[in-house]
Amino acid sequence: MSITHSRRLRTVVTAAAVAAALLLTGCSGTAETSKTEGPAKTAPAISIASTSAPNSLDPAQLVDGAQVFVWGSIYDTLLARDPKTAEVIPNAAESWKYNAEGTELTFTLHKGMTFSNGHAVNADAVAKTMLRTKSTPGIVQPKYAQVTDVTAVDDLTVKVTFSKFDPQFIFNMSLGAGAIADPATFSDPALATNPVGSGPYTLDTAGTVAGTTYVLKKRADYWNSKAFPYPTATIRVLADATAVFNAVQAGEVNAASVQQQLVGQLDKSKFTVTELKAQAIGFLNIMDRGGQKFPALGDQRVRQAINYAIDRQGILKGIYAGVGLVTDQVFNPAGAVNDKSLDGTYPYDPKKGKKLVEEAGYAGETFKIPSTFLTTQVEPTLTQAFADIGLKLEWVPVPPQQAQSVLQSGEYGLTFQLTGYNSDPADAFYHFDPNGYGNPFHYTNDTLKGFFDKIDSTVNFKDVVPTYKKLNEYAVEQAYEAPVLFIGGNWVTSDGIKYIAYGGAPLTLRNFAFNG
Amino acid sequence: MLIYILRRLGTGVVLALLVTLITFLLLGTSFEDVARTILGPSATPQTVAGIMSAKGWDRPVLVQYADWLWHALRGDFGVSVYTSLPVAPSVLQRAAVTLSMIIPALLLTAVIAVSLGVWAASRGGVADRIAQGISLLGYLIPGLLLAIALVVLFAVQLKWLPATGFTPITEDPGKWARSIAIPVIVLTIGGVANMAAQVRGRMIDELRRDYVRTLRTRGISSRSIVLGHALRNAGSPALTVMSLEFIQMFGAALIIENVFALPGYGSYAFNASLQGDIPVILGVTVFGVFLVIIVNLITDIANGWLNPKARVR
Amino acid sequence: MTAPDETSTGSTRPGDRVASDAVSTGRVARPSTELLQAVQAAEASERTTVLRRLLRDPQAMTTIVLLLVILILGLLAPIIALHGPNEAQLSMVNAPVGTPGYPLGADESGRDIYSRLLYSVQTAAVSALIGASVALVVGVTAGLIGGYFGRVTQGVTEWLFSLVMTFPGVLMLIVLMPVTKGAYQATMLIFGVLLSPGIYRIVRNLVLGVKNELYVDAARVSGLGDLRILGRHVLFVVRGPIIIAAAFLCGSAIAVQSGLAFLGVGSLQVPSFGAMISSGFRNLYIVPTQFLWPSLSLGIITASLVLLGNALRDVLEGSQPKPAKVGAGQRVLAPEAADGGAYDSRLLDIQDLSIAYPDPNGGLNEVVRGVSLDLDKGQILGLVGESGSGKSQTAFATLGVLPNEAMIVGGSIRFAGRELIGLTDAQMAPLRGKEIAYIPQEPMSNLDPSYRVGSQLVQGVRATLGISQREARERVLALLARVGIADPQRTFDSYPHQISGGMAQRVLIAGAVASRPRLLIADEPTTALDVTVQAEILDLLRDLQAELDMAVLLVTHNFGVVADICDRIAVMQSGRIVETGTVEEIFRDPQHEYTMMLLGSILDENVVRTDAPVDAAGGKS
Repeated sequence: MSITHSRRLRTVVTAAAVAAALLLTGCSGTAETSKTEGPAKTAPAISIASTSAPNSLDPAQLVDGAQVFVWGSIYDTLLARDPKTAEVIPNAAESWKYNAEGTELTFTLHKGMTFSNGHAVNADAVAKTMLRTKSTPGIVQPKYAQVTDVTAVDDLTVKVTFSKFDPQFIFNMSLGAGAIADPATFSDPALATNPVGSGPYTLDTAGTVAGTTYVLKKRADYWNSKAFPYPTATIRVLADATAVFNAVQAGEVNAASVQQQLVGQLDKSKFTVTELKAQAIGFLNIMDRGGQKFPALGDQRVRQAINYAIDRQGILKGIYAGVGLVTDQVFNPAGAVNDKSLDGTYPYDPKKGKKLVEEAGYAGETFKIPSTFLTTQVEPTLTQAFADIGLKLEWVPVPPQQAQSVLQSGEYGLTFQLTGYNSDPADAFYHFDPNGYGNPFHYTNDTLKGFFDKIDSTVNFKDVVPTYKKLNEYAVEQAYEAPVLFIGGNWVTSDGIKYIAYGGAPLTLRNFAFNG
Repeated sequence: MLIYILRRLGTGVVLALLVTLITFLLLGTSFEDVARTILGPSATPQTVAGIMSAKGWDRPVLVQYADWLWHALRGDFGVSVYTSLPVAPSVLQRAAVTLSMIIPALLLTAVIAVSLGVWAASRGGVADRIAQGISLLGYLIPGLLLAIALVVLFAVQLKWLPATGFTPITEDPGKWARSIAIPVIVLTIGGVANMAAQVRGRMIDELRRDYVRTLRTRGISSRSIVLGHALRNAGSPALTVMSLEFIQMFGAALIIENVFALPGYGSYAFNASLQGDIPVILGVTVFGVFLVIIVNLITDIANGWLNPKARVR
Repeated sequence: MTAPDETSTGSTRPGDRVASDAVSTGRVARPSTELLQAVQAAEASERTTVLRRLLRDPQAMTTIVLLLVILILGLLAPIIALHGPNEAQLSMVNAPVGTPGYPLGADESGRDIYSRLLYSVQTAAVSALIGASVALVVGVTAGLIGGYFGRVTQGVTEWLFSLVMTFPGVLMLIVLMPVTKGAYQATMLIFGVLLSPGIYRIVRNLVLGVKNELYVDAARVSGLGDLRILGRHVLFVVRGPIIIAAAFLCGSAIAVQSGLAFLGVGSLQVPSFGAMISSGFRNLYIVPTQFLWPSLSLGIITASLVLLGNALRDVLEGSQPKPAKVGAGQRVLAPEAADGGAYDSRLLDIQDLSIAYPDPNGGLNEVVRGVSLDLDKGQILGLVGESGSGKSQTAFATLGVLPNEAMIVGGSIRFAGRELIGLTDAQMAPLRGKEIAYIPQEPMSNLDPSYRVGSQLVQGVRATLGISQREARERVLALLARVGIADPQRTFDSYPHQISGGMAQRVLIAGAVASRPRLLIADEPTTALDVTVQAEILDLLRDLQAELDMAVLLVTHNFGVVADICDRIAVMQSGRIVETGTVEEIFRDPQHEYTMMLLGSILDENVVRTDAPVDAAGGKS
């Protein structure tokens, strides 16, 4: 992508946008704002501090995380998640329907949607995008593992055919897997750096510096304009927490996630602070729960002992400054599966843990565990916790680029992970399915098989929630993992902006409401 | 002269080749890890093998190097494994950011260090002690602490300077100057601590030389002797120190870039190394090598200008 | 912090300056009093062992003690630390300074900062050890080999180290992270290799300098193997600069390791200043002191190592000359009251002049003791004596250009009735070049190597006469022709290193007489020249003296020169005038024993020596 710092180009773009806005709304407004019907005040430009930059904007390589701020503004996804209720709601697709077995899924698209280059968004575009992603090795490809074919039934109807029902698919449509791209641009080398999408914004290449700043300009011809009040969105990549804090105070960003301890130093009259209780989960994953390589971990007593050994409240207060929730389960509290009554299954009781370990006969066992920059803060505490119950933890430094391969290698029986949320089905699959990435030893048993058989054959999510709940209860009792806490966070906003989404929601501009 | 430059550049090319070859060989074991990182948690041995063969990473290392070299010699340094952005323009763009920070810092360092060094050497006594004290302070004060203090004062309180971010000089010179002000100050303090002592030492040596005495007997003013003669002769070693300082600042800039969110060369190289983005790493290395060579070349030529005995015919 | 300075030759011992001047000019200067004083001082200090000197130097001792204390504290960490370096207490997260059991507070994970500081010292020490020793081992070995053996070997090592030098420093360390896996020991090893070229250069230069020394040749001739020569003789020379370089290398290694740790490279279980600074930085707005302790510690260690390096340099290589105020004029012990009187009519009148240099014990060592001489307009006085008798010192004092260490302890120097002692450079300036001129002894080292000959002369002429550039240029060209230079324009445009010694001396003479001075002080003007050229220069001087009617004070040790052009002679021995008189008087009928001895030792091919060979010992050295 060539970065041209041409002022003229910018003025031209702005002028065109203004002209288009005038044309569409039929009223005269000031050059900077586009008039929207909702709030009486005009929304300012929003500037968000993000912790990571998108690597590639190729639809087959989209990463779900902080990067959604950028690509989620450029691309439209077929479905979305309701910021308040976390339910799957229509987006580019106005409705969807499964057949009885869940092997056929039909989407109906809105009429009159266009890409930013003027091409129409139709079923053909959707189908071709999906098929391309399915055949391109990359991070999104596995989401199409069960898909056998995608066809355009007519101009606005897409049919996806599965080899078997995929409970995660609908939820995935609100993330990278659901992005729609223009097939005419597939062979364009700029696909990865400056793609054409049908989303609310386009990338302003003049102001964008890849990896540092992304400037997004609102499209005048977006079909759902009023859901996105901000005429410009700037995403600034600031990895350093102190830099974020400085930027917030200096007014260089008006939406950022700020460390708890620093929040107290902000002037409350200028900034709005929204506390989220659960944005991510920190948990000790007992990967070798079957005891294949580390027999100790195959013993339920040892696993439960580990759960008793961790001082969750202490970690929450001490390391995370109290922002978050302690938990004994891994499911998002904003979702449908989380069961409050399960919290408290394992109170902090190292003595009990020690007894369990001795009973099981594994006192003195040593476990190697990978050490990365994500684990730094908890390492000392976890080491202490294991020592308290008569076990030993040995942290082995792993360079970041080997972090993934190390988990799959089977060398380690335990690992401490910090992950975001996906969806209940995705999370269940991740943690407990024999093919789940969080279950690298592929452990399963008859009980678990039974749960997943039901899950994989029930098309309606609401109908199968009780099974998920049973799975959750079973997993907690078996102590397959030692969840520690849901990590919360604070969104600090100013200029009338407010963060309204649930913790773990996809990070789109939809999450920022203007004037409440 | 031209032949001399060409010869040096030629040597540079050979050296760059060797350095990149060694680097490539050392990194050759990481390709598989990179493939896994691209695929994320869903990586299976098949998909990993798929990506590796799609990108040509399953070939013997030397073959891959030859392929890279073949393209590099024609100016094509490939694209980043993760972002697909072309390497060469990115490296140059990032380097421009860092250079726009380092060059002012270096010039400022030179001016201050030479002034301090000359002042200390030609005054002695209290002035000398003050200069040495300043030098020492430069070593003691953590640059980072000063940086934050400056940010709190100038960016947060007074809002005169930006707390983060970079504006290219081509876009707005005023804003550019403001965006690099604090980083330049931090870099300069470290540089002065080092250089001032060197300049002082050289000047003291020069002022004791015979020709200085003879010039005095001709009635030439002290000022002319110190600044016109002694400084010029002391300049040659000082120049070498400056060129070493320049290379060093690139390393120091890395930390500063992180703290100030400047899209510079250091952070580019660092992130690439963390992720194992090999085309970028190689591009960055080639640039680094040529930078060293060109800086040395410029130093030698400047040396020749200052010191006629060292001149190349 | 930079790698050890590879541009320095390593020292400014007085002997080395002579040596370096010798290398650049091709001749060895006769030892001057100044030089002898410095050598004596050096000898005196070398009589005490290195250790003694080290113990006496306050800067060295302070830094060594400080660093040792820090090191010992670090080594004792397991005993004196209050907690393990990675032992975390959740309840102690961000504990403030002064919490019981956590004297400096606790960090973001509840680890004791004081304990972590102690263990970080260990990490720093290991980093310094690995980095510095690898750099030294590689650099010294290669430098010895490259410097000592033939051209081919040297070519190979040169090339190899050029390659190493091309690796872009710290960047390489980061780029090779996948290989080193961030382990700081491996990183320091690579860093040591990256630093070695600096050491290599220093060692190679030293070895090259020493290689052709006579004692090495002697060792070779006597059959000592190369390895032994290298080990015993050559290594000895190198040890000083290496020790100094080691101090700076340690500082560099610690700084780089901290920087990398700050960025998060390497195992997070290893306590280091960098890691502590990084976590302190994250909490900067929350508990600022967390950032302060490790930064301060690192700063103190770094600064101490630099100061130690400087102090070592002083101790091992002789004290660095101190800077002195330029233009302040010569140091005078007690300004004498002007003494008017009967000698006003003389052009130059030196009365009872005494000059002293400080000796290593703090006292003053007189090199000129109560010298009196006078000179009238148009007269030529020869000031004769052996090396070190103080002749040049007298001349310098008259010009006001004694070195900064020298002190005038008594007497007066009057020029045309005006007292010169105690004047600042600004006050002397109108006299210098215009009224009193100077011809130095060693032509090559007295020309600024960076400027063309012509431009130096023009500058002098303009400073004294205040004429325009063009006029000055014409004058200088005419002068160059006058002093016997065949192609004045060519010489005008040349640099000093492009002309011969004889020509250079003519140039200096031209520069001296450019403004028709009343008094010319010639300091051994022919000593450094070939015999054939000597006569020509003397002729030139005689001609100029007659033409310009200058008074000339001719300092020399050569009676032949004296006989050639002087009217009167003053003989100096050990800082005193022992005899004065006209040339005829002195030659025919010397009164003083010393004068007789000097005259007697002139070798004359017509006279066969009848006295017995004198023992080599004796006489002032």
